[in-house]
Amino acid sequence: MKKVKLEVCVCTECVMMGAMEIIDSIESLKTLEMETDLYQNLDIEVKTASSVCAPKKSNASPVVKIDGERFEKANSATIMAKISEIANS
Amino acid sequence: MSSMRGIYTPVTKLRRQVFTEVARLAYEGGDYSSRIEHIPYTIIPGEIPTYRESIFKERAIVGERLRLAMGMSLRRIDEHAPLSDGIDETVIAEKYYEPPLVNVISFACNACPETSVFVTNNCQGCLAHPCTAVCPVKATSIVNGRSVIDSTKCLRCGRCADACPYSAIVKRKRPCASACGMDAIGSDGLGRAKIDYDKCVSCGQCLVSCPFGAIADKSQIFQLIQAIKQGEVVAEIAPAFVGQFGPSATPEKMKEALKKLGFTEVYETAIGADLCTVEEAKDFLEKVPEQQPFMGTSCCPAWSVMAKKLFPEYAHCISMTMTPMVWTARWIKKRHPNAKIVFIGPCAAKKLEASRRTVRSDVDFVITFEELMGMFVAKGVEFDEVEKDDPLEDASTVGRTFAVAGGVAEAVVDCIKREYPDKEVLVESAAGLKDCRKMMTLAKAGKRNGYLLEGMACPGGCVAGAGTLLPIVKAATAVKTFAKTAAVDHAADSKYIQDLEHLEE
Repeated sequence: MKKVKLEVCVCTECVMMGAMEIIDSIESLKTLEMETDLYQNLDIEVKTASSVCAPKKSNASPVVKIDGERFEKANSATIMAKISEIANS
Repeated sequence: MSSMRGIYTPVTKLRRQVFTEVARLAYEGGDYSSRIEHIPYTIIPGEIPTYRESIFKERAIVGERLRLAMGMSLRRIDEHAPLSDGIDETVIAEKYYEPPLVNVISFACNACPETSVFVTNNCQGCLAHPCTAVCPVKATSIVNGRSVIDSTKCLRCGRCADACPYSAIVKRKRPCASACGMDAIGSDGLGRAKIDYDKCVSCGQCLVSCPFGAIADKSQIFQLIQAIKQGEVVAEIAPAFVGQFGPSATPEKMKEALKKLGFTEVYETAIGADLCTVEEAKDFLEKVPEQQPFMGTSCCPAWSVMAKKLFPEYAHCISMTMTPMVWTARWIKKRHPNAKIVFIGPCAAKKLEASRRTVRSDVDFVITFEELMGMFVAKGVEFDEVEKDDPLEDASTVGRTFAVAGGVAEAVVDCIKREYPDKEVLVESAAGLKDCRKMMTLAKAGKRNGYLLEGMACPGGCVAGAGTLLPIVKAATAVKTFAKTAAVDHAADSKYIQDLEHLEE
């Protein structure tokens, strides 16, 4: 089974800028089982911490790391797209 | 009906950035007139527009949002005025507000067409054409093999849309007007949204429903922070707070985190919810049905204003007891007589309630959770760095559950049954102003005699308020989980019930 590890920053600024909605959107991928089996064979691990965005940069929130790759100004669409890319690879 | 609630959009981002920058401006001080002119360039940097056709328009809209966030009114579009116009008057340590609370930034408005029903290219010209069979006024017909709607006859009921097997007929709603339970949104001469303030009850649902971010309410963050810098300010926080600020912001950390913002003490508004419960239970037992046919709860200001506005002959049926916000504020004033008091909650309408003549001496400021989040970010407060756990232990389970639709009625019934276990209490709860109006219409028709009616303007209850950050379902779960940790289950067992008689008018 393919694995993907996500670290979502939940510091105050990242939460204000949508970190929790990003987590919800990642969790929602598993509910697409009727439309695609793309995510069923993908082990998605999500960890949260308040230090993922360190060192703090201005205008970078929210920050998500996917398999160590840092995404600044992340949003649900870009993160879900990246996960799909990994699932397809 | 689709909803943007719970989805993070550029509108959400802009709104919260404005709150953060206004909070930062207030905490840092300095030459406000000069500093405010730069903030649109902080929020909208660079030269290339992100959201609209022109970066200048983006900054102009942010500028108007900044003005509203500082309590100032919108500028006229047809007259020159600097962004800082009137700013000196806002630098006070008390509420700076004049109506209206909820404002349409007209040049940000898309002038969306009012509700219409039309046939799309998806129409297959099918043999069944159920669209024509269901139309009550023969507005739908088949012309050249396609469904056609005569808009002059169309009632916009949407039956044809529901019946179409191809979803080819669309009922297009104007989002702000559709979210408004008071039919308070019309259009100006240029087709832009215009609020009828005779009807508006400031529930705030329109401002979280506009996909163009054209509607915003006035804030009190700026003046609140001036008050914090000058003296003692005590916070009461509404029971809907749980989970709103992220997973690190546990209830045990809230008090200390708020103290890092400069508040001197923090209490749960659920204290007042317990007091309100006991009083409403007493009210219901004394008055229904002998003095009035039914009783409506009091704590949601948008619901109670709606009920009194649209059903004035039944205004006396809305409980006269003070709301939890006011009970708690009075309770706090007994203990902190020199403090200013801020209510922190999910709600836009509470800002209006606190401006009422009977309330304004009790509650000095009202801010929402979103506005508070801006303050946390501006001050760099990290919940992970809050070392001391200082639990909130003021209220009962039922008092804390006021935040969820059905919670108020449940609390009152629970209180009644403690004294009269065999008494049957008929209850109806409505959430969302449209459903609240339907409920009152039935009550007016005599179909809810003997009932306790709980009205909540926001669909889902207070956790769905316009000033919240967490999606509604998650917020409801978080509130109920925290409520179960209360030291007592029932409102009447609150350790503060004996204070009731000292707090009444």
